[in-house]
Amino acid sequence: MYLIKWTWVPILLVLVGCGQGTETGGVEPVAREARAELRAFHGAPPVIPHGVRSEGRENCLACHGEGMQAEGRIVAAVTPHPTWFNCTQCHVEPLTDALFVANTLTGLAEPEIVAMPQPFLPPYIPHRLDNYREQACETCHIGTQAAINLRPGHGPRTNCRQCHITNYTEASGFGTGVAAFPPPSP
Amino acid sequence: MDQTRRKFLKTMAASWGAGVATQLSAGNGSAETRKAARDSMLNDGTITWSKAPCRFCGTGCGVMVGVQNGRAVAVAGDMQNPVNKGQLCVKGYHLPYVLYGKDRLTKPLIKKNGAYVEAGWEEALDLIAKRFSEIRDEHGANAVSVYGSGQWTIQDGYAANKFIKGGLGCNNVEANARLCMASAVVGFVKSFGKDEPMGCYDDFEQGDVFVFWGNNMAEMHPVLFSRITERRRKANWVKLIDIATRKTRTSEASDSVLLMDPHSDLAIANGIAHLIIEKGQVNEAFVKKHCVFRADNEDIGFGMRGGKAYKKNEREISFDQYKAFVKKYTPEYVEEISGVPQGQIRELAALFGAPDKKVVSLWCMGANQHTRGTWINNLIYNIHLLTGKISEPGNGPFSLTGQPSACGTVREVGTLTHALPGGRLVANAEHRAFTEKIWKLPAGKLAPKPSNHTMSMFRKLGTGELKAMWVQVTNPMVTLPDLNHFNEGLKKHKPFIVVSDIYPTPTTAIADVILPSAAWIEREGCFGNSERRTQQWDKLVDPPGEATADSWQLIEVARRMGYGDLFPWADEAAQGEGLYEEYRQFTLGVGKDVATYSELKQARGLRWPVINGRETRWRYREGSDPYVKKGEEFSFYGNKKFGNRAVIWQRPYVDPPEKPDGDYPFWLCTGRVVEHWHTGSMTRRVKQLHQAMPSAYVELNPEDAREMGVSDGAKVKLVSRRGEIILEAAIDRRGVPKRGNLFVPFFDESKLINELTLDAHCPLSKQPDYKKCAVRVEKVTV
Repeated sequence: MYLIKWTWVPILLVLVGCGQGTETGGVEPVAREARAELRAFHGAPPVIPHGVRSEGRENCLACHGEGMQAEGRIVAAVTPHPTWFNCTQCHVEPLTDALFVANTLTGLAEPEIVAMPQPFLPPYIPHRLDNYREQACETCHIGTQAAINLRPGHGPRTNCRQCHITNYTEASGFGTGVAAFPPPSP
Repeated sequence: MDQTRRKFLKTMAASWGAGVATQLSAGNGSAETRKAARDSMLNDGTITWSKAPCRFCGTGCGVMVGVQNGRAVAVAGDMQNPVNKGQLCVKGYHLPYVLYGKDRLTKPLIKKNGAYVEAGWEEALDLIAKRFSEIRDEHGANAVSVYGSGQWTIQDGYAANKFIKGGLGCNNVEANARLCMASAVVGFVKSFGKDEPMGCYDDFEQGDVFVFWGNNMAEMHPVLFSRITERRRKANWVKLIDIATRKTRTSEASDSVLLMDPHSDLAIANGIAHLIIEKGQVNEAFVKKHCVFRADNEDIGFGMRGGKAYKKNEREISFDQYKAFVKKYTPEYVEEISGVPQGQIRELAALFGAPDKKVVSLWCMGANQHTRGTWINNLIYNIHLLTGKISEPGNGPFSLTGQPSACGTVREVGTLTHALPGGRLVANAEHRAFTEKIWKLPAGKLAPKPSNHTMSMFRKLGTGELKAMWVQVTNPMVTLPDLNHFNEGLKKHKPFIVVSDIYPTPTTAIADVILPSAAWIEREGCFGNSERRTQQWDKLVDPPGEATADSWQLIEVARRMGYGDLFPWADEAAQGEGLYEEYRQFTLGVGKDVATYSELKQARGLRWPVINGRETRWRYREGSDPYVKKGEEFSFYGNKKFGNRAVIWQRPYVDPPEKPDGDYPFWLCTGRVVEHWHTGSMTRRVKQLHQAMPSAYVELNPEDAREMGVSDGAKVKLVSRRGEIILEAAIDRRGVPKRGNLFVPFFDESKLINELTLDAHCPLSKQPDYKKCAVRVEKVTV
C-alpha cells in the first residue's frame, strides 16, 4: 500500500492526464476555423484582427507578450517570438474587405489533431516546428491563453520534447540543421 | 483513499498494462511499419517541400515551397538558408498566392482591330518574328529592342542578351535594373573596377555600427533588417544610425536619425570625410598601400532632354589636393546644406573614425535613384576607404539590391546596352572577341558601341526612332518617370510592342502581342542576390494554360528569325542547365566564377567567386578571396590600371536640377511599402497584402498639414510641372516626412505618381531620380 501510494500514484496520475489529453480528441471545429480565418495557409503569419493605433513592438507586446484572456475567451495570443523586433515585417492589418482581383488558391489546411492509436502514448506533434523557438509550445498549449482543447492533460512542464516528438520534418524533406553543402568558406 | 478512487486506480492500472502491451507489440513490428504508422498519422504524403529563392526582393531569402495536388499551397522560411535562417517577410509568406490570381494570362493574345484575340503560340511567335524581321530589314537592327528586368532569371537574361547582341547584332537590350541599380554598378566600377559588394550578409552579425543612407530597410529589406536588430539585441553596444528625409520604421528602430534635406547626402558624406581627416583618424597605412585619389569634371548636367552632356575628364590627384577639397565641408557648412545639426554630423563621423568600431553602411534606392547616384556611391566608399573599414568581417559598405536577380541577371549576365557577360564591355575589342568565340559567331559580328540605355530607349520609342520593343517581367507604364511624356509619344508613333507577363497590367494594355509567362516555380531558373549568392530552383508546378518561360519565348522567336544556331537546346527542360552552363564560362577567371549547376542544385546558393566548390565571403581580402595573393593583404584587383588600388573620388555637392520654389514648394519622394512588390501586379492579387495596403496615399509632415488645414484622410491634389494626381493624405501614419517633404508609394496602377516625377538622371549611370522633384499640394473640396 505504501509503495502504491508513493511510487505508483504519481505515475498513474500522469497516465490519467495523458489519457484525458488524448480522449478530448480534436480541436473544436470552431477554434480550428478561427485559426484558419486569420491565416493564408497553415504556417502563414496571422493577420492582425484589430485596429492598430500605434505601430511598434512595445505596443504589440503589451497584450501579446503575456497573452490575454477575458470571459473564458482568448483575446490576445502570446507571440512565439517575443524578442523579434519588427512585428509589421510579417503581421499586417486588413483595412478593407475588398479584393483587387480574386484568387483561386486554397492554402494548406490547418492540421487535424489525430487520435493516437494507443491512448497512453504521448501525442506526436502534428505540425511543423520551425520558427517557433522561444515560447514555442507555450504559445498555444500552456497557460491561460491556451485554448482548453489544446492544453495538455498533465499541466505545465518545461521539457515538452522529452515526450512529444514530431516526424513532420523528416517526412517532408524539411531541413533544419546546418546544410551539408557547401563546406564552410574562409 | 475512498472506494471510488481505489476502483478508478485499479481500472487505470489495468489499462496501463494494456497500453504497455500495445506499445510492446508495436515495438515488435518492423521499423518500416512503425514509420508508416507515424506518417499516416501526421503526413498524408500529399505535400512535398522543395527549396527555392523568394520571388521578390534582392535579399534572396530561401523558402521551402509546399506543393499539394500540383499546386503550391504553402511556403515556410528555409532554416537551412543562411540568408534568412527561417524568417520571411509578409510578402514572402504569401508567395503561393501570386501564382493564382483569377486573371492569370494563359494564352497568347494578339491585338486585332483594337481587341485582344486569343491565338496559338505558332501564330503569336510567327507574328513577332515577322514584324521584328521586317523592322530590322527596313530600319536596321537598332530599331528593335528588348527591355527586361532584374526579375528575369539568369537563363532569361542570358537568352535575351545572346538573341539581341549575338543574333540581331545590335546592343538594344536593357532592363529595369537601369532604374534601380545602375548608379550602384557605376559607383562600384569607378571605385573598385569591378561591380558588386566586397562584403556579405555575414557582416550583419559582426558590425558595431550600422548606417542607413536613405534606406528604409525595415520595410524594403525586412529580413536583413531583422538580422541587424537581432545583432543589437545580443550586443547592446551596437548602434543603428538612420540618415533620411522621412521618419520611417527604420528610424523608429534606430538609435539616432539624421533628418536631412533631399540631395544633401553629398555634403554629409564629404563632411564625414573631412572630420575623419581633421581628427587624424585616417588609416594611413591602408590608404597609402591600397588607395589612389581621382577627380573628374564636376559640371556634368542631369541627363535632361536637350540638356548638357557629360564629358569625362578623369585625372589623378594627390591626397593633399583631396584634403584641400573636402576642407570646405565643415560641420557648419554641411548643416547649412543638409539641415542636419552639426552635432549629429560630428557624432556620426566619430563612429566612422573610431578605430575600434566596425561600421557597415547600407543603402539602396535613396543613394541610387539620385541625379548624382554614382557620386554618392563613391562618396560612401571614400569614407570606408579612408578608415580602412572595408572587406573585413563586420566592416564594409554594402549596396543593397532591389530585385531578386538585378545582380545575378542584369549585372552579371550584362543585359545592359554597354555590357557583355561576366563584367565585359561591348566597347572592348578583346571582350567582343571572347564573346564571339563562346557564342561561335564570325569575328566582328558584335556591334562595338553601346546603343540606347533605358531612358534613351523609351525616349526614342516616343520619337519614333525605335520601332519595336519586347518587354518582359516588368511594368514600365507604371514605373517610368514622367509617364505622360512617354504616353504621348507612344500614341503618336505606335511602335510594335510585345509584352510577356503573368497578369494584365498597364503595360500589357499598350501591347500588340501579349504572351503568357510561367512565373517563378512554374519553370526552373536561377537568381543572384545582393551578396553575390547564386541560387537555383527546379520547376515545382505546371504553369497555367499555355504559359511558358520567358527564355523559351525569346529562343523561339530567335529561331524563327534565323538565329537558331545560338540556342542548341532541344526544349525548355534542356534550356535551364544549358543556358546557365554556357553563361558560366564567361564568369571563370574574371573574379566572378559562379558555381556549377549541380553545385547550385545541392546548395542554398553560393557566393561567387566559387573556386573548387568554396564560396567567397569577403572579396579583395587575403585569406578570404582566392584572387588575392599571399602577402597582398588587400587587392582591389578590378583596378589593375591603378596597381590594384581602390579609388577615393573627389565629388562635390551640387544643387539638384529641380528644387522646390514658390510655385512648387514641396519635395516629392516616391518609393515602396512592405506589403507590395514594385507595381503590385502580383502582390495586389493576394488578399492579405491588398487588404492591408489597398491604395496609394501621400504622407505629409503634420506641421505642414496643419498650416494648410489638411487633416488625415482628406483628399489632396499634388501638382508638378508634368502632371497631377489626387491622393488621400496620410498624417502621422507609418512614415512622417521632414517638413517640406512628401512621400507617395508607386505600387498603385490607378494612382500613377510617375506622371509627376522628373526624368532627370545621373549622367554617369543614366539612372533616373525618383526621389526628388518639386510639387505643390492643393486642397480638394469634395
